[in-house]
Amino acid sequence: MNSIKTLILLGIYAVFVGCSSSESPDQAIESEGAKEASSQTYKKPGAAVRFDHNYSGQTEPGEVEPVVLTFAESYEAGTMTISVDADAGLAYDLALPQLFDLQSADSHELEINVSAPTEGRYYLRIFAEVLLPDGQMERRVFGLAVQVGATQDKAITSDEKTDRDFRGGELILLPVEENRKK
Amino acid sequence: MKPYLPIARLSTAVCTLVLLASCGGSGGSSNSGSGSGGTTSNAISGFDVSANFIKGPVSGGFCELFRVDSNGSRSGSLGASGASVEGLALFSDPIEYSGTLLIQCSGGTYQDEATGFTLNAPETRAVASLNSDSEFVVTPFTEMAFQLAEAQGDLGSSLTGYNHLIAGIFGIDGDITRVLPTAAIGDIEEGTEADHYLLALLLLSRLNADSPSSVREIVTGLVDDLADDGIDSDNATVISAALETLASDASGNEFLVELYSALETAIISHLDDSLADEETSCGDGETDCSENDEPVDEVDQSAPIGYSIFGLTNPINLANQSEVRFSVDDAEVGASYVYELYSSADGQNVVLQGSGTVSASAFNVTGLDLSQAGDGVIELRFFLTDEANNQGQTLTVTSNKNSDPVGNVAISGIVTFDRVGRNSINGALDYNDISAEPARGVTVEAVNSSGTELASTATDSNGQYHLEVTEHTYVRIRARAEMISNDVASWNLSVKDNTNNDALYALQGDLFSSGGEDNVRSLNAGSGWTGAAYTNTRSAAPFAILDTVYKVMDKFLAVHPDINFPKLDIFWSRNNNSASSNINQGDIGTSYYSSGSFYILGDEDGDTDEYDEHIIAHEWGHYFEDRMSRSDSIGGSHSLNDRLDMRVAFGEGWGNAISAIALDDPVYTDSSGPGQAFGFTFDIEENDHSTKGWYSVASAQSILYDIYDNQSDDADTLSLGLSPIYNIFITPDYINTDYLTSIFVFLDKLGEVIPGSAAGIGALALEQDINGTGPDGSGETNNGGIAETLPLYKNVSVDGASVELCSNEQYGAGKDNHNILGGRDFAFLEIAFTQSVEIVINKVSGEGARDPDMTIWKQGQTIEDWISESPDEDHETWNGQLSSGNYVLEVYDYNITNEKAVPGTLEPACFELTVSTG
Repeated sequence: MNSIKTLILLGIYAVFVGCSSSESPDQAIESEGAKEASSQTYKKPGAAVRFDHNYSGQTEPGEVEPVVLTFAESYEAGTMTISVDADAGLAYDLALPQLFDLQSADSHELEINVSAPTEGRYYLRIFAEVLLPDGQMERRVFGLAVQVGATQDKAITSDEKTDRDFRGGELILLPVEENRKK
Repeated sequence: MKPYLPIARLSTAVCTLVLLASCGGSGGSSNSGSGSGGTTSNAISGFDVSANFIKGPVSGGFCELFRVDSNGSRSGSLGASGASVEGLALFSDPIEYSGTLLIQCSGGTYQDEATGFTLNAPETRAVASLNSDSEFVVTPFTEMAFQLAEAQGDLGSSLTGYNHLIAGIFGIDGDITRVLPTAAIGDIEEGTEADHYLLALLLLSRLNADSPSSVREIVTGLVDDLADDGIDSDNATVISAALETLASDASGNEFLVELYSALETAIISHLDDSLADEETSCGDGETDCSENDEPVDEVDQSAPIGYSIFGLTNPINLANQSEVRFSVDDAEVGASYVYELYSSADGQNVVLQGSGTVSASAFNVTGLDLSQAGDGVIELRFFLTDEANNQGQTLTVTSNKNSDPVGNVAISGIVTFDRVGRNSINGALDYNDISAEPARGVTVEAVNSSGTELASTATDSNGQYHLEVTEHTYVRIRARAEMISNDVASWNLSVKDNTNNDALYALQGDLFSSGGEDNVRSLNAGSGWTGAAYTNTRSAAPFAILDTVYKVMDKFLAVHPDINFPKLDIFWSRNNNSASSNINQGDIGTSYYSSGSFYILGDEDGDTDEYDEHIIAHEWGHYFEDRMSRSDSIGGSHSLNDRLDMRVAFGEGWGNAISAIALDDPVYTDSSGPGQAFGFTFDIEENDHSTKGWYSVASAQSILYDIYDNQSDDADTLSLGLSPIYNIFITPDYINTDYLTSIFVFLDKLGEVIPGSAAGIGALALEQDINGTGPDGSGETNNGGIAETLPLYKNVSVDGASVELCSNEQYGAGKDNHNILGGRDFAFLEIAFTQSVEIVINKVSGEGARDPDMTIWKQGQTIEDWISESPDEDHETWNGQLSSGNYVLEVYDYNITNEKAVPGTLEPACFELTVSTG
């Protein structure tokens, strides 16, 4: 387990370094004591909506936790529809969908209460759909991980078999439809 | 060898493995003769085999059968089976093989009788001869024989010698791979060979209990000791003590005590020769055995008896027919031996004969050349004649000879994956449009039951593969989610699961025997969609991603066949979702590229991207810039009509353009939502945008696509294809430009490469409100609404006039300020010769305390020392040495550009930058 932990930590560190440096691999990372590195990942296109929230990061089983979801945008006109979905077992009370006039303000908030009776890690999926005056539609999907209880995170279930790869590492063996002839 | 050390555990039973073979075969030849010959089977019709893996018994173990080739090495797998709770492994398919067999068992647990602990069973092996329906046994004693043979580099010698050596040492009559030990000590009544076997196992258990060593270590210790053919006195002492304890425990059973005594006699009789005279046991613990000495016959009137022959090479084939061998045991030293070999194909005439004198009771006869003998049944006849000319019984054993070549068979087929179509109107996935498409360029391998590769290849452009494996070998076909080429063009990419230790995805077919003729095995990776949801495994996803990358690379290779694509790691998982947290849990936020890898969403009913080809191709475009060209983009979030830092606008515009170019489809789609039934699209061919300029992703993508395509529309008169675009990106002039990457640098290089295109380039640029020229955008008049953005580069010199650079968050609303137009400003500095300089930045406008920072770039490169990020308010100073050349100084107010800044809270700030001699 120790070696696995180590590998995981290294993996995360490598990603962080990759995000903070901008171009070629020999470019510097932030100097010591420097300010927080900005994220330098190259993301896919989507609606110009920025998502934020004030979720505390921890909820007790059965506790109803209020969360404020904030959507900032820079559109001059149009409408934005927010809808939400959640993993089975996570309850929320937001009436759907929520419609916002993009001309009225640059930032829009929604209050939502989340709760789950059973410990685990649940995901809230938040869909932002922007409809512009010219009929163009843009979308972006956001997610919020809701950690209920102090036990292990959501079981990342996998029904695939794994096996040691003779070339090193592991293989996830996926089922196939096999057609045979002799 | 060190004596065995006491251990805490006592186990009263050790591993036994029994292979039960039953079938329609008529019984095979026996390679073990003790005064009797065996029957012969000419045809290998296949044996039904099962195995009992017993260590208390051993539950959940795994056993596999292997051939042993003529070189005494482990060869192909013949079959594998798990063991039941009772330790029984049933080999369901007939074993089409006759010859030396390696039985290898591992895994599983047993309950130790003494402690009640559940313990792991050690790996246990045996070498035996399979040529009939057989019942085999695998124990630590067969493991000892195996290890001794392995040390000699010839597993066959286990069969021909070491099995019998070990049997003799531990007083086990018969073949230790065939005698099934009596189940329990309470069942011992007659002193059969099965009873002796059990007692030997109990001895091992006792040694285990008396020593801190494990069973495995004891076995290895004995093997080390026996390597010189005897047991040393220290170990003999330990063994004797253990036997004394066992005998003491059985003190109420005189018969049992006698059996333990006989076991001790057998062991002690195998002491190292040098010690045999010094220390012996007479069975009663005494060392003076003179009372027990039997008188030596002065006249030998009895013929040699009790000798045996075994291990005749079987089958005899093309590979081993000139190196046939057999073994002799319990032969009378000093006697002479004669052997004769007959072939049924040669009318029962002698084909080979030989003789010799017995110098050791156990010996091998090797190197017999039967290459001239006809194929068929080979019979070996053997007898001893002692020095008194008393002839012993003639023993016979048989073997099968077939000198036909052992060949290969082909396994071929096609590998496909389900591609889910898309709705180009709304971007949703269309599950009514699922087609099986060829998995091109993926690695396909034939592996044995242990997962060892026997052969590998890559699928061709039609998804077809062809492999060759040895006939009658158990194999399965695997298609790995990877593409590797080391040809004129090279690439190495794979799809792994970032939520499962970065394991590589692979399709795996069933285990089957390659048989004696060619096979066709085709694999299809299903989408997992069963009508309303993904209820089956999404096997196709990794291959759909690879296929999109294949298309993109293929597009480039069509214009330049010798490209070497750097390594690319792609991570996808059905757990990859839109939350931003821990990528090992799948919280990747969105699909993105970073430092040689890209991460792709797979969250069903949230956002999945494995079938969104434009997204895959877009991220590949970032990989291409990063790894094969140059990108100065600072990344971050973006949308089509944002006003962005020129580096970001160009980089993202390139990503969108290459997706349209590579897929020959300008309509970008992205599916999402419940059932993947939602999505959005935009047309990269579209030239009319709400945001136009050198800071617009939409402008960059439409210019790049119009340069490529052969459609003339609006201002587009260019149809240059991909080749000049690729050439610009990889040319050193582009990669080493002094200016930061932008649409200006690209168009400037394009104009140089294709001189006649200047007018066409200019028209495209003007259509997008880009009117500057040269790599620095000289003459640009479109300031994007922020006057201070122009000129793009403010020229500054050492000890020259200062320049004003500003930071503005006007376009940060609705997104972060990290990469917005105006957030950062640029100066251009020429250094004539290496010198020390001081760069001072002071605020000249902007309410409140500000935090000016600076990064120095040279041809797109920077180093740690060139990043000046003190927390000083309204001021920043940098001192250092710069070599001759041109530099870009990027200045920004950290209060504005940091990701936690709240847009709309700060007015613009401007700073005066001065460069002086240091």
